Amino acid sequence: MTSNHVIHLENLQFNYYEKHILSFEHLTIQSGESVFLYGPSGSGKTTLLNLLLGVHLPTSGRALVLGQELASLSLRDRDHLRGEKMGAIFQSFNLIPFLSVEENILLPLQMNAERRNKVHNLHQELETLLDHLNIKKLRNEKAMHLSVGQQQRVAAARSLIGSPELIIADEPTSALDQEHKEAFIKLLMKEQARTRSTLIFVSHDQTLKHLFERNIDLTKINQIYTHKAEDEL
Amino acid sequence: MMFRLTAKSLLNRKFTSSLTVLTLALSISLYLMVGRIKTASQQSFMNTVSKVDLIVGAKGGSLELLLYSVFHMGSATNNINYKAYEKYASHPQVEALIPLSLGDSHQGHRVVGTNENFFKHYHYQGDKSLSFPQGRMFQRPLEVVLGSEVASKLRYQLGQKIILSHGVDDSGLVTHDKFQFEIVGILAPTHTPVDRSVYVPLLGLEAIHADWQEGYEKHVDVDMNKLQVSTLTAFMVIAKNRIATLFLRQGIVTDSQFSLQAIIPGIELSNMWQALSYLEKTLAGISALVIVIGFLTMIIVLFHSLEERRREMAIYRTLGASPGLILGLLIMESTLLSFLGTVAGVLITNLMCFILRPLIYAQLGLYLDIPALNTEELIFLGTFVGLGFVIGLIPGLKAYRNSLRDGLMVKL
Repeated sequence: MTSNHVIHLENLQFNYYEKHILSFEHLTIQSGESVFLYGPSGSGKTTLLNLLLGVHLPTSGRALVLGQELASLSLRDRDHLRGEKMGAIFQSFNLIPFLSVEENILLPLQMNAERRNKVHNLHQELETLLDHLNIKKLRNEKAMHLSVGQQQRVAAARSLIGSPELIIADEPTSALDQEHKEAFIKLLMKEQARTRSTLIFVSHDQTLKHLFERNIDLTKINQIYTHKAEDEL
Repeated sequence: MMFRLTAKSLLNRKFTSSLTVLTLALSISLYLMVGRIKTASQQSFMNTVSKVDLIVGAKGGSLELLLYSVFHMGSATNNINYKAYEKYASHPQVEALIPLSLGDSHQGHRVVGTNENFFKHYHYQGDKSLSFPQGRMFQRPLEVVLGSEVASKLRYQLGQKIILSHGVDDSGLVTHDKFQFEIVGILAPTHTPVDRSVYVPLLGLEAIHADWQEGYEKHVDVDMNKLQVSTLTAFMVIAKNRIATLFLRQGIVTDSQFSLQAIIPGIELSNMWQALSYLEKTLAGISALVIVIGFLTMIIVLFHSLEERRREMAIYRTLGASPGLILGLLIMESTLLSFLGTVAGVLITNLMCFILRPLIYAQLGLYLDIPALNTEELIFLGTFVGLGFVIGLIPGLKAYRNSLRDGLMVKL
């Protein structure tokens, strides 16, 4: 295992109340990769993301995220790791409705002092993100007044601020049409390349596959799902 | 940062948060108002009569003496000899005496026989003295001065003539209809029993009783020039100084010539107030209930807002906020709400005292002061804010558990 691994899972099992959800023999993701992780619903996508974000802990096996063994970290440490080094975009974007665009984007820095301290020129970074994601004019608008597409770009900017090492996106394009989906992903990948972070993009929509360097089919590597599929056959 | 987020979140829920602050403010205000009214009633009660050092009457209960001489309630069992009054009127330690002769009434209002000393020396609420917005004090035996309430209730004017009834019940069956008293003065309102009384000269009372013997009318012609005052019910003593009061009192109660008792009105009034302490306890009980209701309301509102904010809290968690921060946000919210409620409550109380002051003074004779908060009130208000903090813990801990269970994928 090299320090280049952003994610390293080995013999990982995850059960949720007696129910087997995930079982991986081996999965690694290198620093700087843009990975498309796909699979139908029920293939364990959301559970895997919750594991990577440190919300759930593996039932057995190893899960190294950003060089840290998750099982050895306290809840507080995992919150801290997530706040400092990860950015997440969700299907529902999860903006705080009563805060302005700018305030929403700056939230991760307020929640985590280390992340804030890593930013050398906050003003410049904010301007760059607003500019690149084409939301400069909306900076003082309240999030509740934005369109779906606008909310999504604000959520992307929020995940990118402070240049986190790992960006996790969970079905962030499901509300968009094909053309806008591709435009958004390209925008996201451009910013990812600029900040030299790693991107894990999760979706059930396989038409987006070709945009990424690497594709992972969750149904192939999650042994639980493989077995379940075989049983059903 | 926490404060800014809390403030913005509360502003976003303007309607519910302002209602919460209002509810808490009203509880606080009710508590403070009960206290203010209590203080005002006590002061008004204690200030019914002031600057009077002793009240002297025939031997008997001290409470009865206070009741009939100051509050014009009940009646004396024995009268005192007018010679006793004359004896102490010339006493070197005495500044002035106010004679009181009770036992008659007019339309349910007590008639008090007295002299000009009453109008000169009677004080209430500290150093307020009696004044005549209409007319003057009586000068001849068959003149009468009315308390303000008597005049306004019975719609009496200066110059009108009235007759008095024998006895203090308001049946008015037995009247002294041979003698008519002319109204020569109406007193300014004092918000004391003075307002409800009718004042006549001692000689006037002597005249109407002169042809009465043991309840039978004898139809004797009364020669006004030969009338002499023979008895009194009580008299008030204004001593030359405080130390003189105690010597005077000692002298009066040990007087072998007359059978007298002397009370110090301040002491008797506070004894009587103590006897009325159940009133105070009732008010305190009401305050306590009001406060419990205030806090229950706060808990309900906070729980409700917690459901509204479940998603907000989950979002903070995805951005790296620790559950401790979530707990902190909710505690800050409840503390801020109770603090604002407290401040608003104090403001509302002072505003209400200011607005209602003339009305309450006119209706109840209570003067609502706007004092600085006393220690007890400050402790209470501090506790209220402190409880706001504690109450925030309950939904805060619930939010803490929710945020762990909800994980990061909130689909609300």
